[in-house]
Amino acid sequence: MLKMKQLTQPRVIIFILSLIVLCTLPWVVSSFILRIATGIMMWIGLALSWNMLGGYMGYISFGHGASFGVGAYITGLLMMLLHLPFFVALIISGVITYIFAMIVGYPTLRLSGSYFAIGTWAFAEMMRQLVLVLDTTGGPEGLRLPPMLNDNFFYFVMFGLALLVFLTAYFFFENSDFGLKVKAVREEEVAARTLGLNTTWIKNQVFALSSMFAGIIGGAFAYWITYIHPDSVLGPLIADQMVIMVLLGGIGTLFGPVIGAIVLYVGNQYMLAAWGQSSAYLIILGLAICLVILFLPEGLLSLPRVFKSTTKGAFARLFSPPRKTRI
Amino acid sequence: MTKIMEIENLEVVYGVIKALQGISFYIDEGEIVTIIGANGAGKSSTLRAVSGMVRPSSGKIRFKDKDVTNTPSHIIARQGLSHVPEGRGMLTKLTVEENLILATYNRKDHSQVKEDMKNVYDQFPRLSERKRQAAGNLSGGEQQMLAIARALMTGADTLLLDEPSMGLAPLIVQEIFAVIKRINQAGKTILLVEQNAMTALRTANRAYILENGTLLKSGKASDLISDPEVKAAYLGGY
Ligand SMILES: Nc1ncnc2c1ncn2[C@@H]1O[C@H](COP(=O)(O)OP(=O)(O)OP(=O)(O)O)[C@@H](O)[C@H]1O
Ligand SMILES: [Mg+2]
Repeated sequence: MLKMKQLTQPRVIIFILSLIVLCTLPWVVSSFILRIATGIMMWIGLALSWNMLGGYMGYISFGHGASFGVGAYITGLLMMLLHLPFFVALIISGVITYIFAMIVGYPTLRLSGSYFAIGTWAFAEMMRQLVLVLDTTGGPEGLRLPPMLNDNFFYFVMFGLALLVFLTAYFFFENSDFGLKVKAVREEEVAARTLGLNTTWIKNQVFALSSMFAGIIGGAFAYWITYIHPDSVLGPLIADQMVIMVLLGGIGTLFGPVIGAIVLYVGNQYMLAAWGQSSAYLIILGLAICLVILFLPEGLLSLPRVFKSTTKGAFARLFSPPRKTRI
Repeated sequence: MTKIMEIENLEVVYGVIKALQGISFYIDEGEIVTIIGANGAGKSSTLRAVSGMVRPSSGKIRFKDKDVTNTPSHIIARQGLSHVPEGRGMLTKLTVEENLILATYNRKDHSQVKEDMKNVYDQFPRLSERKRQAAGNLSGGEQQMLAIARALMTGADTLLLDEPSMGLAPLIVQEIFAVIKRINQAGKTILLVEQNAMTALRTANRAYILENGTLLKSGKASDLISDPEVKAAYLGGY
């Protein structure tokens, strides 16, 4: 229960103020900026959902894009074939991606480390190939959804979803018994089991929950963009970007994925505007991963701390004899 | 004496390697039993099979009159058997307190949990001082203390300890074994696996000698200490 005292904490006030500012955004910025903001919200939600699995639980998935794509296709099919209203279709795709992830998680969660990464990647690739050959999904032709041209509507949908994922991460992963159990799985699965934790159940739940959010966001994306294609919603780049955003911002933290999503998405849009559709983005993306992993393993979020300690270190080194190289 | 645990013809196989070739032993309630053996004898495999971490290829494990041979490890843990694994199984990035709290999540006796937590901090003052430190920053001895404290916090009455002396200075080893003695006197049953044969035999009531996956000898710990064969092979000949 929220108490009055909690509501007057500075961070809560800042949070509520930012929500108010974000709610007024459609009336203060141009529609171009609003579309960028919508995209940012979408990627914040996706990065946060990936972080539940990869950050808090330590299971690095390269197949999270499959949940996004499955959600997109299910929403599209439900709207086109069964003429369901958007929100109904969205909720059903959430449920279906959840169940789908339960099934996929059963074999893949027995793997760990890079085997899990490869396993999930293979599953995602399988889904893409499947959608490419199926008739109902339109195969390589893709799928068209009923057009809906309302920038404000999609901004608020994505904003709402990002907020939902954020609050889930905050209440279920950062500050709860469940979150602590999830972190125990990340630290040492065997030890967690000796403490009586049902790690299999925990792993399945986290995998399904994080996939469900990616699926719902995929559904919203499909309606927003109105035309989906196996490469646009099931391509490997979707999962890759989630991974990089989280690593860039700070893995296993609440704000890392948010910051990573903003930086990477804005950077991507800027390059698109400057150079058009080019592969330069991919090259810079690759370079960014290398740099972050090498020099900033805890992400941009740790930058202030790292900066402080390295400047101190630089001063210290200035006045001490050179160290011998360690072998 | 009532048998709290009974193992019959336990066999553990990894691929083509037969780590345990059918061993049988028992533990009475309130005992300290030790299994000693050299590297690769199968000590850890025994504990892993008992706590459900690996599936035995054959054999029977009874714990508190229940067949737990194929019971999942977290269920066995909830029945009062806590395995402190080799290497201590620290949740390194979590704090000392979080490590302890995690152990209590499957318990239903909430009022007892509070009391146990207080007792554990009283017994291990160094853990109490380091409550909010990451477990990974503790010294080896402190980590072993935390591992034992965590096992106690699960509410277990039987503890499986895999080489608690590993990598610790002699003085700290003495301290750890004093702790083991103390929690045994407080009523816990203990199965202790060790390479440090002398200290283990001095602490235990009974002992088994394990070699290449088979039990070579068993008996009262005090008898085995003076057994010439055991002396020659495990106690450095003196
Ligand atoms: N996961 C595994 N896969 C394959 N072989 C294993 C595995 N674990 C143990 N073994 C093998 O089984 C045998 C017994 O190993 P175990 O770890 O039980 O010995 P131990 O007595 O605990 O040794 P140590 O004192 O070195 O810890 C060894 O030959 C070992 O190589
Ligand atoms: Mg061992």
